[in-house]
Amino acid sequence: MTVLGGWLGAGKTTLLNRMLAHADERIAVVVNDIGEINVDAALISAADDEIVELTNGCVCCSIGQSLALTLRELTLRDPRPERIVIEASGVADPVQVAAYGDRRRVPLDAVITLADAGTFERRARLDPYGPLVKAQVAGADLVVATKLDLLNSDAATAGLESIRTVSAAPVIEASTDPEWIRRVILGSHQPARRVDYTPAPPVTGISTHTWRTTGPVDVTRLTAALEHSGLLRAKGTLTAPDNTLLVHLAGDRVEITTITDHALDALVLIGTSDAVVTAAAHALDRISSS
Amino acid sequence: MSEITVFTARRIITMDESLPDATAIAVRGDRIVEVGTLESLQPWLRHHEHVVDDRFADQVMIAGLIDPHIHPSLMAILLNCDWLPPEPWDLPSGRVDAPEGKDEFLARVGDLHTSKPANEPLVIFGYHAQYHGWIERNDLDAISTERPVVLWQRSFHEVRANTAALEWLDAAEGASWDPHIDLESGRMYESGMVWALRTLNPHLLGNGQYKSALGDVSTLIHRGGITSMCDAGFGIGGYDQDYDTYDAVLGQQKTPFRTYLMPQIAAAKGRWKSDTLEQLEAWAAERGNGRISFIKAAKILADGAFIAQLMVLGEPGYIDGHQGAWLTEPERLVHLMQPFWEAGYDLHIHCNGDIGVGASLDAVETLLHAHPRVDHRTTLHHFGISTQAQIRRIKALGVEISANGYYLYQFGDRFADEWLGTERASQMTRLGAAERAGVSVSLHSDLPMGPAAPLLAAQACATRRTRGGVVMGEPERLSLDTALRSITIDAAYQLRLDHEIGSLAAGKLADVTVLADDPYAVGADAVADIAVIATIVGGEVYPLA
Ligand SMILES: [Zn+2]
Repeated sequence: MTVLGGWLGAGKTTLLNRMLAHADERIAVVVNDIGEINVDAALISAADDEIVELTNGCVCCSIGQSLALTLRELTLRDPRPERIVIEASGVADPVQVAAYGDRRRVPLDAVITLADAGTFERRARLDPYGPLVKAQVAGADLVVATKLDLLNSDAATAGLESIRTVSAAPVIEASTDPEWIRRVILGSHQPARRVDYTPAPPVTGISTHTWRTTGPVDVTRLTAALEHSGLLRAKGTLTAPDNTLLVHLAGDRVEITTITDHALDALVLIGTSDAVVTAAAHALDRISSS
Repeated sequence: MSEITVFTARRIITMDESLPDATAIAVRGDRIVEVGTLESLQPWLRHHEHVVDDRFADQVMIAGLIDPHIHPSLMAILLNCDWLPPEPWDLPSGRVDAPEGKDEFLARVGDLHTSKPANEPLVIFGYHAQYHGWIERNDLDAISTERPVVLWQRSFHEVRANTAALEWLDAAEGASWDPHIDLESGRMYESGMVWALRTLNPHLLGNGQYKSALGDVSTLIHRGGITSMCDAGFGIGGYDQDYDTYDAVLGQQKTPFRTYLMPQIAAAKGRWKSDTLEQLEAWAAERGNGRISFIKAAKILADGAFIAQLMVLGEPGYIDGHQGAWLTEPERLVHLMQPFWEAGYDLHIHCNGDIGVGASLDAVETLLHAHPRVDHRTTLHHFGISTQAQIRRIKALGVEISANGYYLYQFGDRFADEWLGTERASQMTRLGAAERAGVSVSLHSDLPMGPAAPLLAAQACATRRTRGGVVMGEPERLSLDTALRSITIDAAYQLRLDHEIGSLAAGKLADVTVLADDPYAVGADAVADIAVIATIVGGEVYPLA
């Protein structure tokens, strides 16, 4: 499950439409208003009835529906959607939205907040919404700065800076590149089973590297190496002394769970630059060599 | 039977400025022939056979009272619960008095437990922490570990359950999906409450209970002297189920009031996913009869509820720092309203906090620019907390106010103490300013949020005296005259029914409320004490026992 947050006009619907257009998995979307969804794009990856309008879960409005019930119903569908994307409302805290759903049945991929680089600083100061605008960014796993193309370079730098002062998570610039959508936003880039695979094509603004290991890794040290690594994404399976670890990193959040499958002993690392990715790979080398 | 019936009364308050006072009213069929005196009626009476019905000759008549915002379906659910509310209520089953404090409340729950057949779930409406103390799972387990015991909060937004009830409501599964279900304390609130309703709804409304409870709701509405009411949010219990039940109960010719249905937009979108307006209109066109009609108006909800203190407040916020909630986010209001607006529907917006009011006005302003309309009669409902600047803006945008006449009366003092502070609590439902600005005001009960008692609403807003006897925000009082207009002709105006109901004049529907006394004579402080003797709807008399 992916939650898209961000203030009105930050570009959530635009990004959602791109996700639907470029995903190679079947996505169910829960949105504020179906009218905003580009149905032509949606048909590629979501069946018609997999676009669900979010009804507010208050008994005053609708006795029968809530986000919890909607998510549960989506997971009971056959075939089951491979991913659920929720477009949080502009005045919602996406972290609170992400609190819905049974994590065993709907694992959380990422809370991604979009922030309009041109207006963020001003909005964050405006009462009574300022604290909410900041909370949307502060709670995110990944922050995407949008509308940079509308700004001159000084304003863009200042805009990015204002978002970075609030965000603990990596702040990245929005891109329209389909590969960027797949790797950064959807995090759907998997390590290949074989070593002699064709490397993924380069994408402007990000760097991708597959880190491989042979021996078992220690969970605590692995977590420490990945946390605050500056990576945007990391994904793969590693061998631990007693089991296999499924490793999932989305910006600020690292999740390591155990699975029964065989490990590929590889992680795909995605970062904003070669330097970030190389540093992360070195940190990982250190934990597996000692 | 004669063609014309002439009712006489000590005084007839017509609510029509052209002829405010009368003592006789001639009715033919369901319409008024003429209002005046027995002498002034002579031109009609000389030419037509007539009878004089003087059974109300010593009483006072007023244009039939209107409650423009009632939720019959919600009240029906609650009437199938047991009641332990923070304030006394007159229910069809009798008067329920209010337990004071936690000990008495729990003792009364215990009494209900011992008096009920074993193991049948006990669902109790009316719990309110400010009046009954903090009660949770453990307290209820002490009453029973076998029988499901559910306390339904007075605000309607939360239930608290004992262990047996959590099992009954499948709350453990619910808690894994919904963060607003807390098993430890037994609380299920907001969206978590929706989960509870999956079980509560069929339990409380199944097996013909909906129909029988709706009959009881009808009794309460009649008792209030109401001759017309509007379900301001029709469809929340499901359009088809609600309509079929209403039709069977409220649609009967013997029903002592008219029912107007105002569709709720979000519920309609849930029922008809696409082309909502077109499909809703086609559906409604096949429905409605003599007592039930659809009006060309639609309801939408902006910010959270007042009694639950979920309205969205601007600076300085709530005393305890909690945040309000949006039911429809500001960015979505225009979106949902637009098709209805463009099709000429009057929009009725539920809004309670000053930020909610502001967002509603922003939406109206956007729509007015995008698709200008004259005489749009957009109405803000409930109108908990507002500012003077908003009153000026309401006036400028041609917006109207339908206020909850009960908020201040019941909750004024308590809400000042814990949530709002004195200044803002004293100015809740700011109606004096609206009257001074010439903004149309109506009063409603929002039953079950308040009792269906328009005279009490009028008294409360004309005196601003709370149930506890304190006067709060005197400058925001309505004049008695405006207060009475707000439960008659001005309520009709906001529903775009003022050509038919709301005042007594030749050609209008013969809807009258018969009172034991004259509101102007007894004065604002005693209006609610006046007994309702009968109602007349379409010329038909419906006495109250
Ligand atoms: Zn209501």
